[in-house]
Amino acid sequence: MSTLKADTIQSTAGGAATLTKQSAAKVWLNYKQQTPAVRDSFNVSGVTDTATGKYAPAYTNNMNNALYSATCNSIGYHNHIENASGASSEASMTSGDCDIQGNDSGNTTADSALTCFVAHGDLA
Amino acid sequence: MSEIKTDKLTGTSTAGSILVTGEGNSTTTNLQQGLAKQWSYVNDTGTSAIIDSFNTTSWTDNGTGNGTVNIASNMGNVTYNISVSTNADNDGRNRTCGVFTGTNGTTSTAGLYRISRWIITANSLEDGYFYSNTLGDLA
Repeated sequence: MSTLKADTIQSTAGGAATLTKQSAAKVWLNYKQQTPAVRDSFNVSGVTDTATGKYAPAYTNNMNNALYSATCNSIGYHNHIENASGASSEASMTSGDCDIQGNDSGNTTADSALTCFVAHGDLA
Repeated sequence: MSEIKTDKLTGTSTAGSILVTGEGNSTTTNLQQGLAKQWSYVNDTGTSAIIDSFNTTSWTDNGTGNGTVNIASNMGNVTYNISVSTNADNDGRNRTCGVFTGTNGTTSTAGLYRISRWIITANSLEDGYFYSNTLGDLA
């Protein structure tokens, strides 16, 4: 088996190299919402506890646009990308952060003991 | 377009850390941190079974609507990221899923995590399909 050793991989033009049929996550977060505290993360500069049941991770290196894929879930509650009040929920995702909301079984916003968040897409 | 063919990539400064240039050509991202370390597709209806998976030894059915994913090569700690989703049913009731720490559950360890699926309006566990993956440090 051959092994290629390198610290940085670029295309010959200095841009992103193609990883055949692979896509790496650009952001991930393991977050204790009730504390609140970040347990572990990648490419997260900070998390804003915006309100009960709501938080927003900000990215160290921004995404290229707001068209990336974001997933979130938690212990015990239903987590989803926040539906901005009366407006398009698309406003909850920007290239630099994402607004997340958790609801309990009564559909009331609530902090979860543990939540996880992942983003896939293009970096800026 | 140039192409390098190899079976294994290793960092020269740190074996488990390689940077790749981002799509916008201005930033870099860590390759290892962005790769899923485990994923599994589980049928937890009837006789539950793993349909397809990566770095997964087995699925343990813990009862209605909850089970344990057992990881083959363990994560490096317990603070890794877990993503899980489930299927919907067309009976007018909403389902959701999450990491499970119920009364007969345990918190995640480096070698396993427990997930559950339930009907939101009824607040009751229900069998279904699980799609999950982990991100974080391998041991």
